[in-house]
Parts: sequence; C-alpha cells; structure tokens
Amino acid sequence: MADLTTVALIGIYFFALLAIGSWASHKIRNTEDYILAGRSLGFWIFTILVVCSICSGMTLLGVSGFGYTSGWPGIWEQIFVPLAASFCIIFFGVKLNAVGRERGYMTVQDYLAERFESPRGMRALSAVSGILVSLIYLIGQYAAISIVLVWIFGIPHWQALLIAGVIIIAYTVIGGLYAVSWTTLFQGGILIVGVIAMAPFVIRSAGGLTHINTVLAGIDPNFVEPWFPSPAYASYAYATPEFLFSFAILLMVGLACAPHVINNVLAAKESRYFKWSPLVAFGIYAVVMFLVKFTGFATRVLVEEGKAALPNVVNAQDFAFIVGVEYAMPNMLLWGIFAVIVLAAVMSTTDRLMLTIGTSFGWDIYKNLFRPSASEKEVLLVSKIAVVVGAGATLVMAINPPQMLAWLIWMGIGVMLATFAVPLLAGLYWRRATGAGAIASMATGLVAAGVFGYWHKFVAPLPMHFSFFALLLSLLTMVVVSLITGQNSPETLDSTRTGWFIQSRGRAWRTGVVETRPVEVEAEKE
Amino acid sequence: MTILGLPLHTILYVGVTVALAFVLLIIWGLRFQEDES
Repeated sequence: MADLTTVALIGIYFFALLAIGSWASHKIRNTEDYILAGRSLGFWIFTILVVCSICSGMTLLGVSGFGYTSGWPGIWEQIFVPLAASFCIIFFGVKLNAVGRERGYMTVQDYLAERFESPRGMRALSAVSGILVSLIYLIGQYAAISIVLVWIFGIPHWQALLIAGVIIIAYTVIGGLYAVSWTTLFQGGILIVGVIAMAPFVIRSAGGLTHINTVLAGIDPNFVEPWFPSPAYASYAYATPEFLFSFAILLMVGLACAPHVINNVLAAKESRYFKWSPLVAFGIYAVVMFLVKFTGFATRVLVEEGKAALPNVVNAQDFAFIVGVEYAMPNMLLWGIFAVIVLAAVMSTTDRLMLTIGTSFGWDIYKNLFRPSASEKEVLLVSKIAVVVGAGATLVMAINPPQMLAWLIWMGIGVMLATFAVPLLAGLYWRRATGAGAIASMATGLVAAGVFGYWHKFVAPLPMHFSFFALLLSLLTMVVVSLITGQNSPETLDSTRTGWFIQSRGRAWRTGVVETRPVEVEAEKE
Repeated sequence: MTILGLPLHTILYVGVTVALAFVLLIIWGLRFQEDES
C-alpha cells in the first residue's frame, strides 16, 4: 500500500490535470476549437503531442518487457517507433496541414472524403474503422493504467480503472484538444525528464551496461546479437531479420497513420514547424525509448542474479520496468514520482484516443453522414457524449479484459497499418488512385488483417508480422481497382495537392494556376 | 571484440542506423521550404 507522500503526489498530479482541463474549457468556442484546438498548437506542444500520442503506457511497459524477454534483437523497436513520429510529420503532416488549412478539414476523414470524391462511403468506412481501432487500443491503455495504480495503491483493479477513467474523461470532455494537448505537454515533460533521471539508477544498480550485456550473453548468446537467427528457435526469439523488416513497417508506418496520431498534424499552427519537428520528435523519443529498453535489460539481470523477482502473473514481463525501479529506488517518494511518470505516459495517449473516438463520431458520422444541418453546439454535444460513451464502454470491457488482450492490441496496430496506410499514402502521392480503389483497399486491408491475425494466432505462425501480408493485399487492391476505374477530377487532385512530391513551391496552388506542376524537393527521396 | 559487453557488429548495425536516421532528418530540415503556405 502506498504511503501518504505517494498518494499526495498522485493527488496533486490528478488535480493539475483537471485544472488544465478546466482552464482549456474556457477556450472552446466552436467545433474547430474542440477538435483541433483552433489550429493553434505551437512548435513544442505540437511535437510533444505527436510523440506522446504514440508513446503509450503499453509502449513504456511493453518496451521494457520486450527488452526483458528478448534482449538486443528487440532494440530496433527503439528506432522504428520514434521514426513513426517523424514519418507522420513528414509524409502526412506537411501536405495534410497545408490542405487542411485551405479546405477547412477537421479530421483526416474530411481529407479522404474529398480526395476520393466519396463523401459518404469513404468517410463512413474510414470513420468506423478509426473508431474501432481506437476502441481496441483504448482497452489496452486501461490495462496499463490498472497495472500501475494496482501496484502503487494495492486497490482493486476496478477501482484503479474508475479513478483514472473518470479523471481523463472529465478533462477530455470539457477541454477537447486544448486540454488534451496542454495536459500532454505537462505529462510529456514529466515522462521525458522522469525516464532520463530514473533509468540510469536502474542500469547502475544492475552493474552497468557492460555487466548487463555480459549477463545477457550468458543467458542466450543471441541476446546481444542484432537479431535472432532465422527460423526462430524459441518462443522469445521471433525477432528474426524477416520479422524485423515487417515490424519496421508496422511500427513506423502503422503508428504514423493511426487516427489518434495523424489527426494531430491538422492542429499545428504554422507549417514551418515541420522543418525541425521530425528531428526533435525522433531525438527526444529515441532517448526515452533506449533508456526504457535498457531498464528492461537491467531488470532481467537483477532477476537472473536473484536480486529481484517478477510477479507470478501471465504478463509478468510487463512489470519489468516497475520491478527495476522498485529495486533501484526503495525510497517511497521516488516511487510516487515514478508512478506519475508511467501514468503520464498512459494518460497522454488515452485522452487522445478518447477525443479521436468522440470527434470521429460527432463530426464524421453524426454531422457529415446523418445531420448535415446540425449546429456547432449540437456537434459539440454529440462529440462529448461520444467521448463519455466510448470511454465508458471500454472501461467496462477493461474491468473484465478479454483473454487475448495483448493479441487484441497487436491486432489494433496491425489493422491501423493494413487499413489506413495505403489509402492515405496513395491518396497523397499517386494521382491515379481512385475512390473505388481506396474503398476496396481499405476494406481488403481491414478483412485481411483480421484473417491473417487469426491465422497467425490460432492456425500456424507466420514468419513475418501478419499485418505485412494484409498491407500487401491492400496495396495490390488499390493498384488494380484504381487502374480499372476512372481517375478523380483534376480539380480535386490539384486542390488536395495530390502528386509525387511532399512540398510544392506553393504558388500554383495559391493562385489557382493549376497547370503549373509542383516542383519536387530532394527531401522526398528519403 | 566487444564494446560495453556487446559484439562490435551489433554496435555498428544499431549505431549506423540511428546515425543514418539523424542525418536524413537533418537533411530534411535543411531542405525544407519555409515559404510553403
């Protein structure tokens, strides 16, 4: 059971979140303020929002857990996940922010509906897929919150979920993206500073990096190799070269096009932020991720040497980070700070997911599909109700989590990749991509991800991540269907800046001289 | 040969990849057109 200091620290932390939410609520005057914070996010708040939307609690606990079970072959995760933030900003952000500002997009579904000239079919399919994926992902976040609160307070699982759930729902409902982004800046700061301050203690308490690597090599010589030999020889040795290839695409592209991540690019105040935010996001995130992974390695060493022990539960490796910190920092005050760090990681993703669900429903489904005449006030109200209903329903599901929770979360990320990557990338960069191709591609990706995910889990393991096969099918469907159907109108393609470039020199689009071809920049060759 | 208890090739693979990512992102920043609307 936690002491008074820990309770007080967490109490102050929760109070600060609610205070920020309350302050943010005064800035909400219309739907754009609620969904996009009035397109007013500055450089740091935008960059940290993108990083923290990706960096979830399951990432934090899962990263150290993966390090604990698999050693250095899993280190590539530390590069691919931070690159997801850079990929999202460069390949989606630059164009979507500029076009979104010109065309008044509130969500990525607005872009897809206009680009593919499919105001109902494409919007409905992408909104429903986005909500579905976000709901699955949200259940996983609740599980991570519960792990931390149960460990700190010794309270029942349902109480932990209820406390955290009510607080996040409260500030998300009242403050929209203003509250989410400012609380994320606050929480992101805690997370970054906290991990940088605490991880070295855990690494040192396990004997330092050289000792840690020596012990890891003694457990399995492949633990200090860049990948496991192919084919995998043990259940933990799945990070083979071919798996890592699919893993790179899954993390870098799949997370970048996740609805709760990509929608952030519409809220940046100025396009010049996209100049250095990819580098800053990668740098900050990579440092945090490497340190968390090293903490997982350190905990493995502590356990092997009998100095610490993981709890006797199914997902024991998810406790690697917690157990490592507990061993290195027996001081209760530090525990309290640590608990706040993990909560910050979890809650900064959870609130963004809730808002994505609410706004996708309120704006894309209610306003654009069912009641185009709905007033701003009505859309706001429906969005807020959708946040509460979506968050509440997943909270109930998380109290009795499905048996295959981890599998469901991986399904969620896999489905994001297979469903959204091809329509978004083809839509932005390939003028021949058509609405029929996009709908067919999205539907194929959604179904194929389910089929391959099921096959991998229950029939026979696949050599690569299941989402990779679904992605290939989705790509093939996009190409074939687009080539046999009529191209979208040149006006639509020009107004949505479609083409094989990231940045145009811009003048043609501003003046309406659409026959002027955009000029490629070298950066796209990255 | 090992560095920090790691085989040299592991350090090289990981180190070069991280360095490459940084270099590409710096190039991106330098080539970005600030006058874009």
